Amino acid sequence: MIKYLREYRFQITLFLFVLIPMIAIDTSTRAPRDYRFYDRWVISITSPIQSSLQWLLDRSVSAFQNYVYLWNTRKENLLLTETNRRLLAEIGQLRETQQENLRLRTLLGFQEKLRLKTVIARVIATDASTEFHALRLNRGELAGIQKDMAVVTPEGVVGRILRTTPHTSDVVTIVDTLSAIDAINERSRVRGIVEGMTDDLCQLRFALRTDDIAPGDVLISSGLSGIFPKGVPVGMVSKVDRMPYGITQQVEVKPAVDFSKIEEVQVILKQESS
Amino acid sequence: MNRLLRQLLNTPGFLLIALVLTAIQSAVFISFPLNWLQPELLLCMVLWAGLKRSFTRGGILTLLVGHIAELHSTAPQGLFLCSMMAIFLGVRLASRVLVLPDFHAWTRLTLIASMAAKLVDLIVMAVLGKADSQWRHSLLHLFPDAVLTALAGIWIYRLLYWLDRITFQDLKTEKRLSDDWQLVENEGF
Repeated sequence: MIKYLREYRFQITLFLFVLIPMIAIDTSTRAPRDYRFYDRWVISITSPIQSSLQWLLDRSVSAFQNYVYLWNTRKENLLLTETNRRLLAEIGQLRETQQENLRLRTLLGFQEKLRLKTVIARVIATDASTEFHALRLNRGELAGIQKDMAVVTPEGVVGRILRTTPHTSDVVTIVDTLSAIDAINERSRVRGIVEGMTDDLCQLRFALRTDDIAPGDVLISSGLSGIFPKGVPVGMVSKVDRMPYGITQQVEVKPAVDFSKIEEVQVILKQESS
Repeated sequence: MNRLLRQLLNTPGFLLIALVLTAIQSAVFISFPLNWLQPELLLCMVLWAGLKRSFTRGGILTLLVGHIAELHSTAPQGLFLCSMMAIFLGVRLASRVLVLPDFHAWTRLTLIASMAAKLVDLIVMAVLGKADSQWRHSLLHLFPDAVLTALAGIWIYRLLYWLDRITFQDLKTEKRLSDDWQLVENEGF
């Protein structure tokens, strides 16, 4: 037996080298897996390096920008003062509208109000490959973050938590090919699934050819998946390709969030309805 | 004893470099325009493992490097293992006819291997039924990424060469040491 193993050592090793990736890819198609204990060791080595590099880059860019934009400060200050006056006036009007809205809600008996408990996290790294769009955050299980929690910014949906360690968490973004979100057209209330297309774009799938969708329409999360709260902007329809035949139409969606400029995000820990 | 200890440190050193390179690759190239210029630094490690290590040891290192890459990506599990193993086996096969006299030759090899790795990725994604929207992005990144990987490879190969030299993995260093040893034995130096 040992003689044969020695004789065919090369062939056996080659077979194992081909088999291991095949098995890995086969198991991955069934269910995405969480980090194992040895994976966590690896992450505990790389994440401090990633944080440090990000901090260093951030400081360098800030220092450069502060120096370059210093000459423009007075002009910018005047502009900001003017904007501030205008915004204060608008806030006053909005307060009035909010009060009116509250009164009307009470009148209508509309009691549901979404309360979100969030954690703010900083992006410390992106995906190691250009083909995928993961983000690594500097907060993890110790901050209460768990798998499948929604990640948003004030602009809209970023993605969902894929894996966590005590100090970091990985986000699968909506532009990733492995992402899918149930969305509604804000104007026509047409529903579909927003899937990532990798190239900083998404597509709205399963929208019927007869559905009323036009470029410029805003898509919001439907809240059906149980991950994202209802009404968070997902993106804007940038292109509609409607063939004279077929069941569905091709809809290209520009995400509400600019992923090339993303720095901080909010992780929604809990959604409560009262 | 010192030599043996250093030789044992080669593999951990190799993996540590892989971890640092992964951190650099994922942390530095976040924002625009750097996010369009992300090199595949770990591919250089695979090429080095393919040409400078034995078949078994190189293969195991390739699997470990592939696993490290997958931990820092949302890629389907096994995708990088497949593409990196394909590159490793391809390079091993080509090593019978391949002559890499200097770092420029390594750079050219990296350029070709980077493009090949992306194509293998695409093929595997197509098998998984996920390549519909992937091919455009991959083809767009194919050449720029390969060029950057090849350029980054110049420094990575120097680093790996240095690691091999100080851990007595390099053949030239080995020969020089054995010559020195012979001198000590025969001439009494």
